Amino acid sequence: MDYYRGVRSLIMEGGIFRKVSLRGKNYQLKLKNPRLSELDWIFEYSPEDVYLRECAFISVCLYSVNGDRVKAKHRGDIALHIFENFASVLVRRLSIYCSVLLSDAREAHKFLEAFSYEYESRALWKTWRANAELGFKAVEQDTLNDTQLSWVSINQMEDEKNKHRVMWEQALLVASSMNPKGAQEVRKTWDKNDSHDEEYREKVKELARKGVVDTRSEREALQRKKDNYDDLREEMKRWVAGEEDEHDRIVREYKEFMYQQIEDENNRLSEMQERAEQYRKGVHDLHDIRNNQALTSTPVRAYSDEEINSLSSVRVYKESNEHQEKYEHVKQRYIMAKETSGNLKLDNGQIVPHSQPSESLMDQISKRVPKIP
Amino acid sequence: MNLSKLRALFDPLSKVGHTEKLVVVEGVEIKLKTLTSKEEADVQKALSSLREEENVSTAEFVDAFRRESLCRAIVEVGGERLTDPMLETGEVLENGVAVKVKREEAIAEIIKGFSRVLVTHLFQELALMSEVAEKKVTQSLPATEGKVEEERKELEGRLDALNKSKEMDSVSETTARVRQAAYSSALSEMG
Repeated sequence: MDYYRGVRSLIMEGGIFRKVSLRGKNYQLKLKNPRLSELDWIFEYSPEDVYLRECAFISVCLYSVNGDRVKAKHRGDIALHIFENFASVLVRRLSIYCSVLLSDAREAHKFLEAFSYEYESRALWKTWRANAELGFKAVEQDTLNDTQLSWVSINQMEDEKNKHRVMWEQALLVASSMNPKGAQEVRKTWDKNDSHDEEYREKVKELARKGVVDTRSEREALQRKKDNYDDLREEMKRWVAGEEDEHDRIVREYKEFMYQQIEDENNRLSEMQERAEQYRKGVHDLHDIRNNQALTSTPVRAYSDEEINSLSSVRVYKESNEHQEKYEHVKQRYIMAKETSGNLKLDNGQIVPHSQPSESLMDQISKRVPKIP
Repeated sequence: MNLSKLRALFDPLSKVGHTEKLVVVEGVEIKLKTLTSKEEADVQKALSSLREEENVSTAEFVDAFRRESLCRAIVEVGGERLTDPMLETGEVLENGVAVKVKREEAIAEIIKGFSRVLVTHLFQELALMSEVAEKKVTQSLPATEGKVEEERKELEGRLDALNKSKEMDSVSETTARVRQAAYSSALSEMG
């Protein structure tokens, strides 16, 4: 299953959509999950009337009717003058569709962090940047939605980090030519941090591909929910007082979740920013290592031309002719070699060695003359 | 784009989910229609003032709910279509202007004089119509396959409506039993 489908749609299409078709009629409504600012508008539009708020909720989710885009300025009219004549069962049904879109968007947004670590996300970001550089719009929207804004921030921060990383690598290269030991030490620390970061990202991606996300806000919410009687009491009071209905509750919870998510992402961005800052600082440190004579293990000194010549290893290569060598070998061994008798001879019908057998080791030892050193 | 263009765009949808039914009670034809979302909201608003009162019993609340729903659902009586939002009371002011009241208020006043059994019967007819309307909406707007969450919410809504209806019925039955018992003891006391 593709768990990134929702977040991909939020980024590439600008939202999660739901088509509502009238059976047997050439009629189609397209609904889209609303942005946080649009949800705020609902409560501004109808601070008191729950019914109007529900209508406003559906109207902000309306994207198009038979392909005709519904403009934001008409939403009030639609909520006030058009939905009032709709059958209550139909309005209820549409508001269910809209609230499901909200929960879909909420689920999809949870995968943003993991998706932004994927290669696909970076490739998509490059396409967006290329479009922007050529003066084209990456998406057909007037404003970016909340997920897109977070995604753009993450990618911009990643770009900045990469830029600093390149600068840092260049500085490290220069520093390593002057002070290899110092530079190596610095690199070790940074490589360790980088590998931790990489491990974390891999783990997040691996879990997300299995459909598991464990966001910081969720953990905290779970922690809070365990023993928070006050929240439940507050919810009960709101329900009894008729201050909010089911859809208000869904909208409120969605907004709380999204604000929490945005806060989480801001924290993550701050961490990335801090890391980029450290890289920037690292570049300066490397300059210091390079320039500081006290820190350098091999101080910088000037060499004369003669010294450079003596330091440079001039290799003398042996000239060889492999073909000639082989030819000489064959000639000496097999063509020019003199014929000799073998090492064996016949003696009274017995094959015996031609020469006298060599002395045994024991004989050699027995013939040794002791010497005083 | 103006409002009439917008209305035209939404026209096919505004027809979905509306049903009407003719109910004959003692030879009187009463036509009921399902409520629009605005009318349902008006019912809730009308009840909100009642909800704040401390001395209102559950039975009174249920009666008011049925009355407020029916006064908006009745659209035709004895073949006479009640399309006008204002109805003349028959009184005329000194300046010759006829006194008018809102159609809902007029019908609500009439319903107050109906027996509880009749009101309950009419309201049950209205509840049945809502079920039919819901089925029609489901047929017109088929749910997308795999949208478990939508189906779950729809069923939850349906369950909620059924529970409310059951609660109201139980309140009516309790009231009827209490009254019957009270009448019985009163009658027995009277001999």
